[in-house]
Amino acid sequence: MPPEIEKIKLYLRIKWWVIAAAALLIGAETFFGVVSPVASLSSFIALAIAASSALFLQLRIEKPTVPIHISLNFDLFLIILALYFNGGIENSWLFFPVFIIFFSGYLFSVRASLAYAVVSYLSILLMFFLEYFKIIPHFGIYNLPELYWRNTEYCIDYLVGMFMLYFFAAFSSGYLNQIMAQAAERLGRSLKETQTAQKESENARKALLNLTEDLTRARDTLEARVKERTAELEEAKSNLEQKVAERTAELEKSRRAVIHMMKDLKDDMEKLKVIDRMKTEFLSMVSHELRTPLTPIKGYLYLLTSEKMGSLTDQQKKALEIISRQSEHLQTLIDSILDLSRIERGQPLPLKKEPMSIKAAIEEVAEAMKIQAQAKQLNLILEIQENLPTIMGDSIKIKRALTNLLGNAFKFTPEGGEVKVRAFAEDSSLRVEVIDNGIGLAPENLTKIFEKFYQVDSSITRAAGGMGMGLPIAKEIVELHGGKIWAESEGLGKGSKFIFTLPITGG
Amino acid sequence: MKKRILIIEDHPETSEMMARMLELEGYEVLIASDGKMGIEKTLSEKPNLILLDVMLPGMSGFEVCEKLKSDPKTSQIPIIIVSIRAAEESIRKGKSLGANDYLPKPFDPAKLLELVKKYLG
Repeated sequence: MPPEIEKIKLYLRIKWWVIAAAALLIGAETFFGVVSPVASLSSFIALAIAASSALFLQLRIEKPTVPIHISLNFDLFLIILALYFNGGIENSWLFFPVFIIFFSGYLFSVRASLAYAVVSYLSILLMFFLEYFKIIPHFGIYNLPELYWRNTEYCIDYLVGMFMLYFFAAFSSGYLNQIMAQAAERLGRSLKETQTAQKESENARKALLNLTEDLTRARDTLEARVKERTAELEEAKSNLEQKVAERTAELEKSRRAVIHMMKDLKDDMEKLKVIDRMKTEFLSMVSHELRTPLTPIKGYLYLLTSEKMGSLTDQQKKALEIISRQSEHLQTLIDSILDLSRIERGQPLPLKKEPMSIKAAIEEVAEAMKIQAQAKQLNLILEIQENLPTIMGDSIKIKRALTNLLGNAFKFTPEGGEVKVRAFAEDSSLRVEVIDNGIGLAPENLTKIFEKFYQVDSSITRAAGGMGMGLPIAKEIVELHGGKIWAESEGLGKGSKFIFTLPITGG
Repeated sequence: MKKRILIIEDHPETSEMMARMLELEGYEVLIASDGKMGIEKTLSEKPNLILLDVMLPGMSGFEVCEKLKSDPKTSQIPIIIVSIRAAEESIRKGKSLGANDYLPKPFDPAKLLELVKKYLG
């Protein structure tokens, strides 16, 4: 590897200085006649050779390897020559080649310096050999006797010394160079690392700068957006406030309306209470007023029919019978109205539950209504199971319910029809059925007919006499006894079946 | 001797009818048309039986019953309340005030005669 230019430049600078110094010295010596002209001329020639080699190197400084070696070798050669011609073995400046060796090591490596050491050493070794064996003449400068410089010991001492010196110089400069090279390399490396680090830090700085820029931009964007949002929120808030105000106003209005309504309701309720009170009073008055005439009617009827007020003709008896029946009918109607009003007001009907026989009740009612059936030529059939258990019930009320059911059956069955009353035990209850083959019921009416005042066809009902109260009363009576009542029909024109059950209480 | 019955009733048709009925059966009948008169007549005539209506002008039949039953002079006379009010509570009230029996109006005349016979023999 070619040595660094700085090293070459240093070598050249030193060489120029040496050449200049030598030139001055020789010049001075020549001037003062210290040396012979031949010597000075040869010296100058030597200097010229040295200078030219230096110049050559200078010119070839781009590709220096070969020129350096040329320069170094010429220097060495000139040094040896100068040493030979200036005392040879005697010359104490035999160490001079050390400079060459040093430079070679400095410029190149241990190998170069060793090589130059070997060459230098061989050169002086040759010189010593040739002078010692007088093969070449000795150019003494101290006029010392031959014995002094042709001494074997002296020569060997010198040669050993020079050997050690040259090789020491070779190693030290070579290794010095190596060390310096390594140091330089390390320096270079750390420099490179520093550079890398610097570059990285520069990159980091740039990145940070970018980041800061980005952040600033982001911050600005955020600020802008926050401003936007705040503005939007403000708007929304004021909208909301407005809406709240509106709603509050509406609510207030509604509230006042509600209060007003409540007041109206209260007034209505008061009025209703008053009406209710009036109704109750009216009813009890009506109940009283309607029943009052019935008492003497019944009483005198009895007196007349029992002939305690005189005997009667058959016609008179018949007439009285009719009056009797009609007054019974009237009484039933009045009782029905009062019962119904009680039901409507949620008051319980007075029931007097006693052990009774349903068979007896049915038979009594059938007997009482026999004439009605005959009037329409209706066939009334009773199918009562034998040994029916007794039940706890109000027989008057049960008979009323039966009367109502039979009355309806007669009403809605045309002339010549048939009405059947069946009674039998089923599971744990008593079942009574009133079946007719009359005009029947439409399915939507099957439950409606049990409602108060509901009449499927008021014309028929009015013609037959009645106010549509029979069924609701019968329902109330049956249900107060713990039973159930319902109607069945296969459709209009296909007759109807009215069924009620009464629980048989244990025993 | 004929048994004496006092009817305390304000409806004349009713009281007359009852009187006719009972007279035909051989009883002596007195009529009072309000409570005050009824009590007076009870004290003065000492009937064997009182048929008492509840809805009377002034003093109600219940009051009369209470009064008569609490007065030792009259307490032993049986009282049958004959009234349009036939509700359970009315019957209970009457009985609690000492009435011996209760017959709702309009009544079956035979029933009335039956009750009268029960208390007068």
